[in-house]
Amino acid sequence: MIEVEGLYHSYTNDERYAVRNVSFNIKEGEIFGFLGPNGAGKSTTQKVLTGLLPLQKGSVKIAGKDAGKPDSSFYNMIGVSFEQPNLYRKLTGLENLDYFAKMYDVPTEDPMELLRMVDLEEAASKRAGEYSKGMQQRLVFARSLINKPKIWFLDEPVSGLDPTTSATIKEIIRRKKKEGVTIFLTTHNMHIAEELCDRVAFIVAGEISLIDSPRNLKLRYGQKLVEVEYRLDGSVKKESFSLLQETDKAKLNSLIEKGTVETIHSKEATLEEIFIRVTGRELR
Amino acid sequence: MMRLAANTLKELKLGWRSYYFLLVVGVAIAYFFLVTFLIPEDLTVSPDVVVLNEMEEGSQVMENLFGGDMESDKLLLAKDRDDLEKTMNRRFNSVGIVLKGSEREPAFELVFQGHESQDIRELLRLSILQRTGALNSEEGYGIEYLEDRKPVDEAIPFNKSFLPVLLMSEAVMLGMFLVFAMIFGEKSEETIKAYSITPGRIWEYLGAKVIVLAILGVLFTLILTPMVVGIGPRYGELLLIVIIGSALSTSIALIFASFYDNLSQSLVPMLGLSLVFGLPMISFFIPGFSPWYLRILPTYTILFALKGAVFPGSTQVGISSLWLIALEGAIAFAVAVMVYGQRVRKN
Repeated sequence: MIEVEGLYHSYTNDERYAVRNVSFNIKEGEIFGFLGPNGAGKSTTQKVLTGLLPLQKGSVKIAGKDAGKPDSSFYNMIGVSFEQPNLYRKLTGLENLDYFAKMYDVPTEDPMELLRMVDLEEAASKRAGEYSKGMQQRLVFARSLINKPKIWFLDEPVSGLDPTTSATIKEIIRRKKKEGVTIFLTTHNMHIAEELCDRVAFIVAGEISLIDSPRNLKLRYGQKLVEVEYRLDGSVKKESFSLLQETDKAKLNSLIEKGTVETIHSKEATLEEIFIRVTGRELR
Repeated sequence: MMRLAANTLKELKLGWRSYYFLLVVGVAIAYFFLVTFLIPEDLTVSPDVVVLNEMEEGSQVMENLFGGDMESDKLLLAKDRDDLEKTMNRRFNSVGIVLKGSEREPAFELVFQGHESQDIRELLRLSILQRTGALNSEEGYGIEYLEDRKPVDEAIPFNKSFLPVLLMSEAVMLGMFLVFAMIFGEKSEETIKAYSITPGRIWEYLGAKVIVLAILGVLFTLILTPMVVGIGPRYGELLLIVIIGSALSTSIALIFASFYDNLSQSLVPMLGLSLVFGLPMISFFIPGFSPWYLRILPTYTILFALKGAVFPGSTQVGISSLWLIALEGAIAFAVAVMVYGQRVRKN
């Protein structure tokens, strides 16, 4: 659905590339996470993919269409949820959605239904400028669905949202995936990437260093340890055991047989730990 | 066209909620009071004439000189030289004429305050010579007017003569200022970015602003003009000039506004632009000063076309001269669309 090959982009039109030799493919109905710290090239890549920046070098095909020459049909099939709440503050939530709905040539969603979906029904006739930051972000999120996009670009969709609202947004993303929408998710939040993405790409200093599924990454980079809490002489002890070393395996079996184990957890690596290991950089 | 209509409706709502309509109505009413009550209808200042008749028989000379003005309170008769000087001292704006000689060979002495220019002194001298028949003004020369200025031009009250200037500075050039406010508001909200990922075209986005600012210009015109000059103007022509002029000034301002991010950055170019476009007002008040560099400014044609529509017959610049302004407006709009297209993709 999205094919990117040898993408380069320079804001200064010289050899100082913000994005360098980026290549990846995203299948239809897949959630693809684009992960990296601030300034890594995530937004630049997304802007080229959505036609907001010109395609300087490389090839970008979105559902077979050249992102370097975006036309009406290109914009009719994509939706973009920006991180910044770029709304008309003097228009109400409903008027904002109504206005953008009229910009498309394809059947659009009912604006009121979208507001209901992101829990903004009550605030429909309130000006967007009077919304809290979280409400504005939800409105931007709802707006990105107005044209029933086949390809959906999400930039930090749950940044700054409370846990309940985050859960609602994540649920909508999962539902859209089930409906076959291809999702390109840009974030530096590893938890949401772990929860939602089928595959993730790590990007640092404009270059992709790794692409795989979160599960494969964990298997590849995890330590294969279990962390056990067990009771010994009336007190609770906590210890890690390797699943590869024979002595550790024997000790763990003995604890299980004695029935003194209280908790047991596999100690797999988090995406954040893997990111740091692979790239040598932290996600800030 | 549906998108243009949706964009226009959005701009109307934003304009209404930003109080642009209220501002236009308020300024139109304020200008009405200014024109009607603060600016005088007539600025002509004629000096008092203090006459000392030292002729033995000077009644015919007096009649020739002052004719129907004999009963005017501007004409004062002095008893003697001392009285003439005292009267003139009391009246700063007065001149004295001492009649001497006889009916057959009259002579005059002119007494001035001292502040009069040489031109005024010479004008008075020639006027007296002409009235007494010493200078034959009817023979030997003729008068031809290259521009067919009708008497209506001279009959326009001074205060009402400001109307075309006000219509140009507000109805036509209003867009120049408001469009900066509109663009910077949207730049701070980053809404153009959201618009850029829709199939909406830049011309539809900018065209809506041009339409709304023309509507504001028309509103201003329709409030102020009838209040000042009633039903006399050719309103159809007047509104067409306002719409074309407003579209041109808005399009030019759009080009400039695209290069700046906020009002403080754009203050100098904005004021510079309005200053240059306002220069033809000099020619409006001093018709003799119309150098080529003022005549080529689009606002020159607009200003005099407005005058022609407000005071029919007062000028030769008519609606036919506006095709060039419309063409300039179309070119400026095309440039604005191109510049915006490039800048949106750069950001």
